[in-house]
Amino acid sequence: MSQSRVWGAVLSGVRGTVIGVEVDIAQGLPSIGIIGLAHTAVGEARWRIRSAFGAVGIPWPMCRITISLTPADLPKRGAGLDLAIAVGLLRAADHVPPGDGELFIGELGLDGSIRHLPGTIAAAVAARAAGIETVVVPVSAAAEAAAIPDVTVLAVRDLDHVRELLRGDAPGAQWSHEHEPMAPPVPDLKDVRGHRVGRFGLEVAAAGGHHMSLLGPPGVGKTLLAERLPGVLPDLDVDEAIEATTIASLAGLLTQGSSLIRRPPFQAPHHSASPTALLGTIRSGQVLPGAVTLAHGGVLFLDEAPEFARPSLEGLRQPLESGSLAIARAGAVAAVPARIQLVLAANPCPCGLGVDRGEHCTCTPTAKRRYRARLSGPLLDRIDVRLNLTAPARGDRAGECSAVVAERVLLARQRASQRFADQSWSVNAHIPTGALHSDYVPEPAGCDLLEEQRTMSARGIDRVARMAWTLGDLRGADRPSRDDVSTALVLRGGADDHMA
Amino acid sequence: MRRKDALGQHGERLAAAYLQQQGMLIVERNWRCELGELDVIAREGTVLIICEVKTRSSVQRGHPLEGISERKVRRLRRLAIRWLDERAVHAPNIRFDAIGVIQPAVGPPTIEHVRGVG
Repeated sequence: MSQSRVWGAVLSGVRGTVIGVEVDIAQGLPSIGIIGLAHTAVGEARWRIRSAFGAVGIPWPMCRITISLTPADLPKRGAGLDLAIAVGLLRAADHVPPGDGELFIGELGLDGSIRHLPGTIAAAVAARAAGIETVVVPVSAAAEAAAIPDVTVLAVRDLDHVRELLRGDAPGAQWSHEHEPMAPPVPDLKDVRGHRVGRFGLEVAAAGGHHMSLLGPPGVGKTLLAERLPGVLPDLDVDEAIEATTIASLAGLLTQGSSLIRRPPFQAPHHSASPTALLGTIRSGQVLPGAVTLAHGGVLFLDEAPEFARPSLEGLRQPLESGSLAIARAGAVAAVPARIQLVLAANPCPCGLGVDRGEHCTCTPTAKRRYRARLSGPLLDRIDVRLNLTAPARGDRAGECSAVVAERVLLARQRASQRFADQSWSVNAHIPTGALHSDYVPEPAGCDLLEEQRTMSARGIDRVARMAWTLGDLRGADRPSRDDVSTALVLRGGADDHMA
Repeated sequence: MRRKDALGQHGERLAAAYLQQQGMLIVERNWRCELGELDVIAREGTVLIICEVKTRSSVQRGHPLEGISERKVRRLRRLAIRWLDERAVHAPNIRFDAIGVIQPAVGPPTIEHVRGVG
C-alpha cells in the first residue's frame, strides 16, 4: 500500500511534454481509475497493463488503484504512457525499488511486449529539457532516442525485462549517442550539362537561403536542377536535425533503427496535392505533417506550380513568412515547424512551348494570362532568384560536382552567420527590412544602383539587396559591391517579363 | 446452481467466523428483503458493519473481491437503510466492508477483508 511517481511523455503537436504519472495503491475494492484528462487510449491502458502483468506473471494488486496524470489540465492521448503507468504500479506495489530518475515511453502489448510509438525522439527531447537523464524505450525506438545528446537511453524488450532492469538484475541495452549521419544518396550536380545560369542561381539560392523559381519549357532541366539543391546545402544543425527527425518520426517515415536526420529534406509534392497533403492536418489529436512540414529545414519543390490548387498555394504564405504553420482543426490547434526553401518550377504557358518568340505555342493570350495569374503576386513576390532556363547547347559539358559547390556554399553561409552572430537570423534571405536599411547596406556605388531602379517595388529592391549580400559572401567580400547588386538585379529580374 | 449456493454459504460461514475472530459481534446473517440480501451484519464497538461476502473456488475468473461491483456497493447502502428501518436500530456509525473468500477444492481457504468500501 503505497505511492509512486514516474515520468512519461505525450506529444502535443510535434513537441513532447513530460507527464508525471502518480500511482496510489490503497485499501478498498479492487478497481483502477485513471484521472487527469486521459483520452480513450490512455484510459484503455488499464486493460493492457492488467493483461501484461498477468502474461509475465506479476501479481496484480487487489486494491483500489488511482492513477493521476499531471499536469492535470493537459489533455493526454495515445498509448505512450502505458509503460510509465506500468512502472508506477510496479513501484507502488513494491515489486521494484523506488526511484524517479527515468522517463518511460512505450505502448504495452497484452503479452507484455513493449511497442514503439511515433515521436519517441520528441519525448527524449522533452526529457532532456526537463533534466531527466535516463530514458527507457522499446528496443525498436532506441536508435531514435539515442540521437539526442546528453540522454542515456536504455532499451527494453518487455515488461519482465523492465522489472529485472529496475531491480538491478539485468542491464538494459544501453545505446550511445551516435553522430553517424544518415545520408541517402542525392542527385549530384555533375550530371547537369550546361545550365551555367541555372547552376549559378542554385548556388546563390543555397548560400543565402533564397527562394527560387525556374521557368522554362518542358524537359529543359527544371526538375534536374531543383533536385540538386539539397545536395549543396550544408548539414542541419543539431536542433534542426532533431526537429526534422521528430517530424519524420511522426509521419512514420523513420525506418526502424535509424538515427538523426542530418541532411536537409527534399519534398516534391505532385500538383494534384490537396491543401491537407501540402499543409498537414490533425487526426485524433495527432499531427499528420504535410509536405511543407516534412520539408522543414530543407527544400519544398513545386513542379508545375501554376497547376496547384489556389488554396494549396495560398496556404504557403504563412510558412514562408514565419517559418511555422498553425494547423487548426475541430478541438485541436498545433503550431508545427515549416521553415522551407521554396523552389517553384513552371512552364512559360500551359502548352509549354511559349518560349522565345513562341512560334509553336498553341495557347490563346487569355489562357496564358490565366496561367500566369495562378501564381499570385504575394507568393511570387517572395521569390528572390528567378531564372529563365533554356535548353543546353549541343557542346555543353558537365560542370562541377555538388561537393565543390557545397563547399563554397558552406563558406558563404559561415561568413553570413558570423556577421549575424548576435542576431536571430543566420542567412541573408532572413534579414529583416529594418536591419537591411540601417545596418546592412551595400557599398555606396551599389546603393546608387538600387536607387536607380525606378520601376521596382520597395520590397523588390530589398530582395535584391539581400541577394547582393549573398553574392558578396560567395566572393568573400565584406560588403556587396555595385557588381553584386547588378548581378542580383539580373537574378531577380529573370522571370519578371514572364510571370509577374 | 446447488453447488454454487453451497460454496456461497460456506464462504459466509468462514467470513462470519473470521469477523468474530477479529473481535466483532455478529448481529445478523442472511437478512433478506425484496431488494436483495445482506450477508453479514456485525458490530465493532459503536460501529455497525454491513459486510458483503463473495466466495470463489479459484481466481481463474478473477479475484472474488472483483466480483463486488460499484453497483453492488450502492445496493448495499439501500439495503442497509431498509434493515435499519425494519430493526429500528440506532447506529451512529455505519461501515461497509467486503470479504473475499477463496476456497479451493482441496486445501485451506484464503480470506481477504477490506474495510470501508463505500
